[in-house]
Amino acid sequence: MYESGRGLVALAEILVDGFDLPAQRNLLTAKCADLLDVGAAALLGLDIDGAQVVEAASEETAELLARFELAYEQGPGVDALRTGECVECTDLTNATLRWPQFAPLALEAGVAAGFGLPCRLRDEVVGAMTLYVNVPGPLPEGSEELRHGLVNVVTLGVTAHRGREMAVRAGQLQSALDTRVAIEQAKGMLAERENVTVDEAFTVLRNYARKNGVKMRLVAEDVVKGVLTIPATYRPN
Amino acid sequence: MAAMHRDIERRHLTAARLHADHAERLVRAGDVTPAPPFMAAVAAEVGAVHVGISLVLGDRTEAVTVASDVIATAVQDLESIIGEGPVHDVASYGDPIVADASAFPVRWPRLASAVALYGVRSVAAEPLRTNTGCLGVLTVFDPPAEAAPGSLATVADALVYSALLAPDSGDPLDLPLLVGADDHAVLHQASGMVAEQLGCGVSDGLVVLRARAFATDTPLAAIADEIVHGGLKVN
Repeated sequence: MYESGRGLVALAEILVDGFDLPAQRNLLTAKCADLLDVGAAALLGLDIDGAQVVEAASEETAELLARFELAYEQGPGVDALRTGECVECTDLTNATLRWPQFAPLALEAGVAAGFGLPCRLRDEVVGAMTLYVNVPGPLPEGSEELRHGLVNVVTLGVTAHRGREMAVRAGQLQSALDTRVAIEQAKGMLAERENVTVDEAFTVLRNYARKNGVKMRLVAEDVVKGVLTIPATYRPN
Repeated sequence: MAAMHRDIERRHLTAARLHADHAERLVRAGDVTPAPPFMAAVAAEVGAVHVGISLVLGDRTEAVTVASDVIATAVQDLESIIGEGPVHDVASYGDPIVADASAFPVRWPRLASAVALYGVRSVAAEPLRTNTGCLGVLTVFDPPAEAAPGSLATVADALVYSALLAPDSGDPLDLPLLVGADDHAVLHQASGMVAEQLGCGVSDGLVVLRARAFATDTPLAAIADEIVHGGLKVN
């Protein structure tokens, strides 16, 4: 139990420290494999468009196997992601009917058993941890609690990451809208104030932004707020 | 669980239909310019003729609008002048709206009579929602009566994920969905000019422009154009 707690703390530290870096997602997955005492692990998820992707893997072979799972739509991780249920295959030699393409490839890579653990957030399956074990047989008894804890940590991490990706794109769109409107408003104010055309007002804004190393949006917003008066020297000749 | 997966499936199928329909229209049109707008595919998907999309700023001002036809454009313009209507309500409260003509005078007393002139008898509007808020509103005028419950929400969802926040787009506003959109540049320029003339903020400048358009029964864009390019002063 003490070891389980330490493992979860270690995972939480990885999540806090710049989780958006792919290397850290791989580290998280490797830590999971280590704590669960399995050969390798990979994390499958859904990208912002709902497509299944390999989010991370503890090592190169695990990443390759996870990609095979997605390519053939076969394997413990893909099944867990699709059904939201735990998937267990204690001996892959018996799984050639179940996963005709994936099972032989996994066996060739030295994997003897495979397990898929769905990552849930409330009623939504946001990913699945797939475990590749080198010896046939079930996962160690008594590790259910640890597995549950690990899956929860990973779920939070994956969801936060994806939520942030979506938020970034929405923020970029909103920012582009704000910028466009602020620049047009500032053009109008300057044109009226300086008795120039709106095109000339745009040149004034651009000249000021370039020469002072300030973003156009900030210059425009300050003009609109009335806190910036652009000197006449910035007028076009 | 199954319901969640069916929702995702519906969203993807809807997005696929929208893009396939638009692609077919582009192929059929060949070199004809202007190319068919994405909004034609949106209108076909929702089974209506008059469809509009408004992207809004934080203060609910319409920043960009795009419409499938002149009726939708005209009603969008009216709503912008009057400052009340489905876009304003959905962007403010985040809930979808379905209303028929009998409800218009209660919901939108000033917009109702103006909209009646265009023969619009019902409206459905859905937020273009992300996990951080509302980007805008999808509005359908005279939606088909046989539309399945939730189908407009699926279209709105598909538009957000596949057409507005699509990956790998450089300029966030350089999107096929927004080809031919009105960014109201002249209106915003005019707001700035009026604010300077009156010594007020740009949002008050926009209110003055709206009031003038309403009082003179003139399109808002025409008033704005007269101010920016015709030297009109508002006192």
